[in-house]
Amino acid sequence: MTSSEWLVHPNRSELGPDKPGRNGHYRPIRDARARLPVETCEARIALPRTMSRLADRDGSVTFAGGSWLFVVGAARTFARTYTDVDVPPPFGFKDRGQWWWWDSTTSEESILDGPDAAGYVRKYLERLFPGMPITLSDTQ
Amino acid sequence: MRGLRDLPANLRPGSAVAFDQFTLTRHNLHETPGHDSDRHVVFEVVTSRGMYLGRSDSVEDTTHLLPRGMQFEIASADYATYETRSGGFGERLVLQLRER
Repeated sequence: MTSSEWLVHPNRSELGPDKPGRNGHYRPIRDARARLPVETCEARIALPRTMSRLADRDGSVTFAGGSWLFVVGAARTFARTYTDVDVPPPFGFKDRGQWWWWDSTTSEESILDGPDAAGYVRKYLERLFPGMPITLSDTQ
Repeated sequence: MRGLRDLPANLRPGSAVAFDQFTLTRHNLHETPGHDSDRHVVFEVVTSRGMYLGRSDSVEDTTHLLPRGMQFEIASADYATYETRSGGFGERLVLQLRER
């Protein structure tokens, strides 16, 4: 028997409501081990008035996560969704032992593990949010 | 989503999910329906229990079928970079699951 006799029709996994019988439907399990997320890296962007509907009460938007990669990922998604900025490539990823960065540079070790991590993040966020004041904090 | 705190409580790292029915999955994120939409959640599953149903010998199709009754702990939530069908790069939030 060949695998071609067992083709999966595309409509078996098409998008739709999350309910029993749909592919990918899952059931959360109550579990006391679930923990509040720890957000050690944070970037606050002061948005212009024209974007006030997206801002917190103080006029800014804050991206926070357990790593700088999370922060720049959330920030890029926000910029791609809500602004007209020419969004740069994703910040970086590791492939076959090497890191590849958005500005076409590479490295053996992650630049986010070094002392200049916040500087690299700031440079990237300035591309995503040109002219907007940026505040970074890292409590790792 | 702006921060980890925005994750629903039942999808935070440390919580668990069950898949009661058979589940179709794919190796490549860009083959997964909804990969380019922030309205959908994407899980990354590490398991050796999938049955290969793809056709990668002729077309791009890495479909796998997972057995029913699988339970996972949510190990982490992070942004993942992936290659798109057009050869560019996409990025999205992925919840990584570890079998219980």
